[in-house]
Amino acid sequence: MNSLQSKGFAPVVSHLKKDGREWTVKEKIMLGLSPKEYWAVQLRNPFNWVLWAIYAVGLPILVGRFIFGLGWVTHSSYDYPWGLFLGWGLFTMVPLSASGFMMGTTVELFGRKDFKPIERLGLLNGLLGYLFAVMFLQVDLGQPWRLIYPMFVSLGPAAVLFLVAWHVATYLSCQVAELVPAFAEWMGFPKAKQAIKKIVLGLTIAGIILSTLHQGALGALFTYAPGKVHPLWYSSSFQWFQFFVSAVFAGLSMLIVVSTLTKWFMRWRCDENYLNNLSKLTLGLAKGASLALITYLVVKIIGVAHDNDWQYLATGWGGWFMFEMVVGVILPLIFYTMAVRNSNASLARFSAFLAVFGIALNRLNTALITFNWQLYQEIPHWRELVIVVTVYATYIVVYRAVLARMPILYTWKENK
Amino acid sequence: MKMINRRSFLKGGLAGGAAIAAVGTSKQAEAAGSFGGYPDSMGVLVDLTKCVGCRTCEAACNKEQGLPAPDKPFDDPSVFEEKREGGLPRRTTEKAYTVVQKYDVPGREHPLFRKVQCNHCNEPACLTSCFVNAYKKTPEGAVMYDPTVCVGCRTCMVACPFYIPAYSYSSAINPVVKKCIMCYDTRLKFGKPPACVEACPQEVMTFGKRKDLLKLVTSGSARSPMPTWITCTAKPRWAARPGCIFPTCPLTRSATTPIWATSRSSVTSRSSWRWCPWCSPSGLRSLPAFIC
Amino acid sequence: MGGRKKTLLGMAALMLLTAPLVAPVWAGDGPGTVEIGSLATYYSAVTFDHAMHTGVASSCAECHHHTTGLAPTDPTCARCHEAGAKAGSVACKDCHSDKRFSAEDQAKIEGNPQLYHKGKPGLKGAYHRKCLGCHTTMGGPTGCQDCHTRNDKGDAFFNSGKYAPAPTTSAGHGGGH
Repeated sequence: MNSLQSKGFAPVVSHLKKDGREWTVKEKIMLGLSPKEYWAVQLRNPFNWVLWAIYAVGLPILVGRFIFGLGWVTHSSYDYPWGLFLGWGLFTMVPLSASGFMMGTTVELFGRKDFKPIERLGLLNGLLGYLFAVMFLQVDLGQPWRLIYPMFVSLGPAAVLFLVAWHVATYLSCQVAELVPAFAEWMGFPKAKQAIKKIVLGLTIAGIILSTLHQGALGALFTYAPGKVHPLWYSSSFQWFQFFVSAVFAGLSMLIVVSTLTKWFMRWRCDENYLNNLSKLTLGLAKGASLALITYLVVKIIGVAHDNDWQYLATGWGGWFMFEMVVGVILPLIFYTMAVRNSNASLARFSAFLAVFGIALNRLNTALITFNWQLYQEIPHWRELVIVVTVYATYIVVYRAVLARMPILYTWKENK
Repeated sequence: MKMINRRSFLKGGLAGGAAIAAVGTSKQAEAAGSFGGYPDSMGVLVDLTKCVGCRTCEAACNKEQGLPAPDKPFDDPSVFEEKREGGLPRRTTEKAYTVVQKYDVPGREHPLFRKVQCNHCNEPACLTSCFVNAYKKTPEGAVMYDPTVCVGCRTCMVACPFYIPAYSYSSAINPVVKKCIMCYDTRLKFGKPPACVEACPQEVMTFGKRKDLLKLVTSGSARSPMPTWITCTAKPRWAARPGCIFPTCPLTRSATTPIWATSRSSVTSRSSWRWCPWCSPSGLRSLPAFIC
Repeated sequence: MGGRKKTLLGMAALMLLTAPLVAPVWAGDGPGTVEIGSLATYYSAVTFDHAMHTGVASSCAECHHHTTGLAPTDPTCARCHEAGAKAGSVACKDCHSDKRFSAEDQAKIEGNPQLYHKGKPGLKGAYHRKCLGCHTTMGGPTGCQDCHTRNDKGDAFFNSGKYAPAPTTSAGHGGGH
C-alpha cells in the first residue's frame, strides 16, 4: 500500500470520491481500490504469507480444540490449570489494552486536546485488546457457551473473578460506545456520533472506574494462591496495586509501540495531523509512562520489604526477578526519562518495546513461570502455543483491517 | 438543568450520608471471614498412625461414586512408587477422588501412609473463588459442587491450597470438576458415614459430629493417642497439624519428605511458634472437616 | 512307701505342679476355633484358631481386655474396672459393633452421656488393630489375604484377579497429571 501511494494512490478520507460521487460501503471496504487491485496488493504483501502459513497450521488445531476438548491441546494438568491462553491472552493482553481508559481520561477528563490525534488509536487498542482477551477466554473455558452464567444464571459475588467478568463485559460495551463516533463518521451516521458525544464524559468516567478495579482485580486473583506464586512476585497487600500501576504504563507503552508500527507499516493511511504530531505525542506518553514506572518500582520494593523476602533475591529465582525488573522496569524508566529530557522520540519508542516485553514477562511469570515454583516447571503443549499465535494473528488482522478503513489514523473530512 | 446551590448540595450530602450510617452496619458484615462451621456438621478424624496402605478406601470410593476402572488393581502396592512430574507422589484425579500416598520417613520404623482427599473446609477457598457459586458448604459438612453451572474457569483449582480439585479434561462437551463429596448424595444426607470411612479395616477414620471429634483431638485419651505433630522443614517456627504432610505445602521448600515430629508437647509448649496458616486454628474454627 | 507308689505320687505331684502351665490348653478356655463371618461380603469367612492363640498369648486379657474376669493392671482402666468383674460376653462381636458409625450406633453413643468408651472401635477395626498389632511385632500374617481370601465379589471390588484392568501402555497425552 505504501508503494501504491507513491504511485499516486490516495486513500479514502471522505464520503466523496474525487469526481464527487459517494463511495459505496463495498468500495470503502476495498480501500477505494478495484477488487482486482485490492487482491493484488494482498497477495504481494509478505506479511500476509506469514499469516496464511499461521492459519494453515493454526485453524485446524483451533477447531480441533472445540471438537476434542482441552485435553487435546493442553497437558491436562491438575496442578497447572491455567496455561498460555489465560497467561498470555488474558493476563498479558488486558494490561496492554489499558490505553483505552488512559487516552479517554487524558483527552476528555483532563482536557488534553493535544493528544486527540492519538486518542482513537488508544481507544481502538483498548477495544480490540479486550475483545481478543475474551476470545482467548472462550478458547480456554471448559464450557465457553456458559460465559454469561456469572451474569445471568448463577452469581457468585464473593469471587474476584466475578468482578473481572462483570467489568470486562461492561467495559467492552463502554469502549464500543467510545469508538462509535469513528464508525459513524466512516459509515455516515451523524446521529450516532451526536448521541455518543453527549455521554462521552460519563463513558470516560465509567471507563476509569471499571478499568482501575478490574486491572487490580486480575492481580488480586493471585491472592487466592499465596503459596503457589513465588514470594518475589507475590504480595498479599499490594498485588492488586502492582497490577494496576503496571497496567498504566503497559497501556501507554503499547500505544507507543502500535503507533510506531503504524508509522512504519501503514504510513499510507496516516494523515499529516497524525504524523506531524506523533513524535511530540510519543514523548508525552513516555512522560506518563515513566511516572507510572517509578511508582511501580517503588511499590514492588515495598512489597518485597513488607513480606521480608530479601533472602529470595540471592536465589536463582531472585536472579530472574532482577532480570525482569532491570529489563522491564528500570531500563524503560531510564530510557523514557532520557527520551523526554532530550526530546528523543526514537529512544522513547525503543523503551516502549522494552516496557511491553517487561509487562508480558511479569504477567507470564506470575501466572505460569513462577506459579507452583516449589513443584515442577510445566512447559505448555505445542498446540497451545499454536492456538495462541493463531488467535493473536487474528487480532492483528482485525486491527489492521480497522486501521486501514476507519478514521483512526486520519481525520475524516465531513464534506456533506 | 437547575443549578444547585453549593450550600444545599453539602447539606443534602451530609444528610444522606448520616441517613445511611444510621441504618447501621449489618451483623453479617461484622462476622465476615470467620465461619466456624455449621453447629451439627459431621466430620472425619483421620489417624494416620493406623493407616497400613491397603487402599480399601480407594476401592470403596471408586465403587460408591461409580468411577471408571482404575489403571491398576486396588491391591497393587506398586502405585505408591509411581512418581508424577517433579518426583511428586500420586494425587487425586478425575478418576480417583481419594488416593493414598506412601512416605518413607527417617526415624520411623514403618512407612507413613497418608490419605488425600478434599478436606471439606469450613471456609473453602474453592467456594470463595467461584464466580458462579458452584460450591456449597452443606450443613452436614460436605462441600458440594454443582456441575450444572460450572463454566470451567478452573479458578478453584488454583485456589485450593491442597491441590485437590481435578478436572475432566478428557470430556469435550461437559468437562467438570471432580472431587470427594463425602458421599453426600448417597450417604451423608442420611446420616451414614462416607464409603471410605466404612470400608477402612483399621478404622483410621472416625466419623461423627465435628465438634465431638475436635474434643478428641484436643484431649486425646491415653487409650487412643493422637498422631504426633509435624513440624515444617523450612520454617521451623511454623507448626502444622498432625498429618499435615504435603509435598505441596506452601511453606516448606523441600517438602517431599515430611518430618515426623517430636512429641506434641514440644510443639504446643513453645510460645514463639505460630500455626501454619493453611490450618491456622485460633480456636480450631477453620480446621477442615477432614482433620488428619 | 513302695517304689511304684513313689513314682505314681511323684508323677501326680509333677502333674499338679505343672497343671497351671498347661491349664490354658487343657482348661478348655473358650472355643477351639471361631468362625468369623462378618466379612462375608468381600472375603470368605475366617476360621480363627482360638486354641492356638490361647497358647501364644500371655493372658486372656491381651485380647479380651478384662472381660474374662481378670482385673486390669493399667491404672486408667483400673479406675473403673478394678473389681475385675466378668462381662456378660467375652465375644468380640458382642461389644464391638459391626455397624460402626451408622446412625443407630451414633445415636447410642450420643444418647448415653455416661459412656466413657465413646471411641470404641467397631468390629472390623477392633479385629484388625488387635490382630495386626501382635502380628507385626511377633511375625504373624500381616497381608490382607494371609488371613482372609477374597471371594469373587471382593475381586470385583478391588478390580483385581480376573477383574484386573488390562495393563495400559502410557496412552498418549491428556491423561492428566
